[in-house]
Amino acid sequence: MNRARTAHLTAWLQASPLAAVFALFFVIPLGLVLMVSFWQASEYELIPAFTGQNYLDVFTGCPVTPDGDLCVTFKTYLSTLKFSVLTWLITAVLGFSIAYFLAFHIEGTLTQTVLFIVCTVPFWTSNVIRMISWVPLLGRNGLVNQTLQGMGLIDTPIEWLLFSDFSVVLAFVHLYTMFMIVPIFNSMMRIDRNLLEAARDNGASPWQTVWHVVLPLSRTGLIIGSIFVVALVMGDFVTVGVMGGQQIASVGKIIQVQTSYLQFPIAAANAVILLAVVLLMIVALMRLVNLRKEL
Amino acid sequence: MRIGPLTRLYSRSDPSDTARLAGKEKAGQFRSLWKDFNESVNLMASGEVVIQSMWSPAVTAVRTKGIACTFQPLKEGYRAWAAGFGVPKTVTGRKADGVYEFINWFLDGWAGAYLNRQGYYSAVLETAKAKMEPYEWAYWMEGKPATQDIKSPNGDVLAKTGSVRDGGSYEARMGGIACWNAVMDENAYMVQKWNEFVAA
Repeated sequence: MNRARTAHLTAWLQASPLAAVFALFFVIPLGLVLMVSFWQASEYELIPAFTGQNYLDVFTGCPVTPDGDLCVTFKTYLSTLKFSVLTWLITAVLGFSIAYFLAFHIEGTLTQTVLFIVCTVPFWTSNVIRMISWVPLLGRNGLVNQTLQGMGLIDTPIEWLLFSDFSVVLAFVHLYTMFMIVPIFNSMMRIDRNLLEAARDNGASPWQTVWHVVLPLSRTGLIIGSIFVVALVMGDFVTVGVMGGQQIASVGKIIQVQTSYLQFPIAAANAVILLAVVLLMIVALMRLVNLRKEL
Repeated sequence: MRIGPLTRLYSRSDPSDTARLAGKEKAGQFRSLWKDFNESVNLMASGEVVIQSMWSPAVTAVRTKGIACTFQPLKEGYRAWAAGFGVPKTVTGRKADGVYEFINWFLDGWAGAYLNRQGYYSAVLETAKAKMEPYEWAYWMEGKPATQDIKSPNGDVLAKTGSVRDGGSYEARMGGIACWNAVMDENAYMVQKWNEFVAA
């Protein structure tokens, strides 16, 4: 009895440092954001209050403005969701294929490790540098346009290569495919190789093995990767800003514009709404997998 | 805070303006908006844009790359911004001494001359003048033709002998200011309209 109580206490003590870090750097700031979202602000000061006006202001003109347009918030969420879905789809296919290649087609742990490190090469430079380097590649006078013009394939530069939906998705895929590769690779390495042999012995074609054996058993990795990618894209404002020429809407960007003009309460309200939306998406994804059981 | 093109677009807070701009955005009028000095320089230098609302020293920076770039005064006048020091009253003792030492250094002329050679105007012109060559002062402040090549603070040539600064003298340029970048009374409305413009 006494020993059980001591063990109980030890467990609490062992968990407390992490709990304290979370409380200090996550729970308290989040509580502050929630609090400020009910405040008011003038051009120069925050005024403590308890008003739902900020939340009402976020949804001004929703769902449809008198002109027949979708309201700004809905339009922006739609745009952000579009980027999330596109990025998720492309990174999932790419991440799965690369992880599959690394896990099943590469012999030897050393080669696997080396190739894995090669995948991280883009992360050796800073995010901003990586994004800025797209300009000389995709710009009006960039390498791609100059090459195509030099080959006589086009007369005028292709405009949509940069500062467009295309360039935003391209940058996202470039940045986040790694977040898919790692967990999927991890799941694949745990698959019992005898299962693949059994599938082959039972007459499954290679594609059938991938579809009916590897894919279901990589589900955990795929879903963890999806959580990373969806959460990162939903909250992004830097990539959308730089690659979209600051002209493509995203929820993060709305918050950024508002904070840079000192409108913290409405920015906080937007942040709370975004958090709720992302949490819902993650809860939905978590229902597809039991992380504790399968990790 | 860097305000850049935003205030220019919304200097007249007329909803029809926003609608007109949103229409132009959809039509592809705006290639990119900038938020950062270097971004504006790179957009111009790479040929990504051909006309933009730009800071005077950014135009200088494009020219020092050997690319022709004109800072064109508009008949509507200039949009200006200013920055100064504010010392919180909580700063006392040695920290306060350090603050004043820094401000004294900043205003003693070297930094002022550096700023003036970029095309800004420093806060205390007399001390800046003492640290500049007469021909530099004549070009940047008096609007006179350059008697020698004008160099940037880094030593790159940015204007050839005989050229005249856009907009003329200090008095003429300061006299042509039509609006100041500032947080305006309708700040909240402006930000809302801006997010609307971006979402369009």
